[in-house]
Amino acid sequence: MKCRLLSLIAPVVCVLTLTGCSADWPAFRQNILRSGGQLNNGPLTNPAKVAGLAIGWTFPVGTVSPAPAAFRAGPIVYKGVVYIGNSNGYFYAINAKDGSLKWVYPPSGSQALTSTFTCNPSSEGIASSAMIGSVRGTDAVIFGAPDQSIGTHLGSGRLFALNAATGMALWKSPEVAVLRADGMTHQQIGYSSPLVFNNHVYIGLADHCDNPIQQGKVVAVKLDDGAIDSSFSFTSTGPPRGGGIWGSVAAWIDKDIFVATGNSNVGGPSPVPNHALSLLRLNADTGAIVWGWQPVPYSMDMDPDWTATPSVMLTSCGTLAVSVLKDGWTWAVNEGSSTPGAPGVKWAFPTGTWFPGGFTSADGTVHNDSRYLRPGAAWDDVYIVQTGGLTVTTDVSEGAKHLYALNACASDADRIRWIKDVPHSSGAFYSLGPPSVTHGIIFVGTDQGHLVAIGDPSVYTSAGWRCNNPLVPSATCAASGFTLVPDPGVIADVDLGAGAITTEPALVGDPVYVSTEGGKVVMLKTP
Amino acid sequence: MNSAPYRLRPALLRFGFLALFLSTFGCQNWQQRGPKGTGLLQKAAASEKNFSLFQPADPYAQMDPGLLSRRVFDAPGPTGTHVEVRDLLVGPAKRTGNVPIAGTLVCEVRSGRGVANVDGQRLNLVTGSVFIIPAGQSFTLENSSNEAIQIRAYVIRAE
Repeated sequence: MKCRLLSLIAPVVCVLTLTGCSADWPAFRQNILRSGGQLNNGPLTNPAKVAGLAIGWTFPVGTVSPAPAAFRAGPIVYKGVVYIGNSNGYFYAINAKDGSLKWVYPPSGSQALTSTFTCNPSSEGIASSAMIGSVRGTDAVIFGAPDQSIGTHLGSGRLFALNAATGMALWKSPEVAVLRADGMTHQQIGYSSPLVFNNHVYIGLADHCDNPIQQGKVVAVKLDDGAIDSSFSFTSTGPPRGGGIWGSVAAWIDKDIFVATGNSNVGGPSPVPNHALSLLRLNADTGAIVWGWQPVPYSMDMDPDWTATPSVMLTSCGTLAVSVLKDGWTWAVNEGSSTPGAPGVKWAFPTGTWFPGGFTSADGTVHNDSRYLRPGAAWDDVYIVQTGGLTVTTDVSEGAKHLYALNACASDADRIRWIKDVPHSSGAFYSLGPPSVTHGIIFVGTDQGHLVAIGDPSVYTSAGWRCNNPLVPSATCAASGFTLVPDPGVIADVDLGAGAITTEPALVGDPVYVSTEGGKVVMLKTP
Repeated sequence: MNSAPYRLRPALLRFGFLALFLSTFGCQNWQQRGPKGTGLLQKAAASEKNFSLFQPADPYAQMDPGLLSRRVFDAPGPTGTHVEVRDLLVGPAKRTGNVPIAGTLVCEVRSGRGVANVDGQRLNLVTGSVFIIPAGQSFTLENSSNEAIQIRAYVIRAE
């Protein structure tokens, strides 16, 4: 009877925690849907309180050994502790109350979790944001990192599950991202954050700086012991290469998972099969493809990796998988049934002849590496994201200056809810980190080191109107056939003085936690 | 025929329990989400003048009634010529007047669809199409769709 009751309660608690009911921030993008949304009410949902947001503490407080370098992973927060990996190869547990160090892994003086193959920020130390899971009844913090103690001792990637209270290893997976000295094999976990789901931990694999591009993979290890589950297998492409999974795996409670894949065309014939540049729904038990959406054909692949982690949006018009491609287009796909088959593409932003069938060589569009790689945040029917916008076909870099809120369930004419040029962001590539949202208040970090809170006009007074085409002056917008949309108001703009922010703010009831390129973790609190 | 039609499958039972639990104790937002979702914001009035302080750094300006344009860059072309690259923009459901041009225009339609009329010759425009307007001629553009027509134009003039 006890077992029966437990079997009923356990999934409920698990779902409540991981799908967004946790007041903590226990995962990259807060939950398994990767919504970037905090559902619970608190001071951060009150604009009057958010206006007084101020720095509470900055980690490291005093001397911490080893001293952190740049943070490329975002913080997660669980039961009063902030957990975060650092580019120096150490993983820190920080007391959320005062910023003091709780423990560090591996212990100071031990070999750091680094790779000998470093070529961009994702390959330096730990770039993978962590996720909380329960390993044989013990709270565990799980992350991916390179480890020179395995494989050829160059820094192949593996998963770690640490006791969340003590920092002691509960398990270490076998080598999942293989690094060899052959000049050909250099898989990496990089920014991919583990997904704890379905009694497994799922992790995406991409590569170190291409050259050559590796085959993208999702690996599943068993949550209890970290052993690779050979019954699950997913590889994005056939030989020789392509389809790296640079972002993280998302999920929803119907037992399937969602991934986006990178490019594959570096010349020569297309690999077979080719699920590169795709948004995919996979069977969580086997890795089999349920559906895939590939809007950019191989012949037009000029490196627009689908890098941004997809968000599963629970909207009034159904469950959608939504993400922006690196070329600047955002796509929403109906989650659909678990029956394998073609996906139902809900919308493209911006729309055009490429909707719903995808791009063709006749449409004149260009799809290259335009750096739209930050995941969006989902707030009911609203998706907040840095995306190319209406000018993507003529000026692809223009979108980097703006943050968009898109109405996921509206007609194309009403797709843009608002546009904001976030203050103290340069407008260049990487000028904003991933946004987080709670009840219509959006928090986003900038490359100039500010944390900015913006209020959706339904919860905070807007700053006025502007044109939905950001290159058309507001005064001539309507007369030119375009539409005025709100320019939402800035509730708070705090200079953290700690370097650029490239990671997501973790919203935990009252405090906000932010990590920075300057090697700091900052806690901000309302008055 | 199933001999126990009223026996719930464990998965269904779990789902029912989950639904009951969520509706009773779940996050407020689970209940708030409902079928209405997040409503659309109120639209701007036709006479709206309360513009925000935002100003585009390199905006379009009216080149002719119904036609917006901005210079992308210009450079010396082949001997004796000068090439200017411009973006042309015709808003949704807008049409231009008769636009005279100085020089030859090579136009790529980057998005949208409509009709170009070049000295009486009617051309259907779709995304990806290319058309040329010879020097000394004039043209009109007509957008009958809900999406803007965006054109990258290469203006080739004698120096």
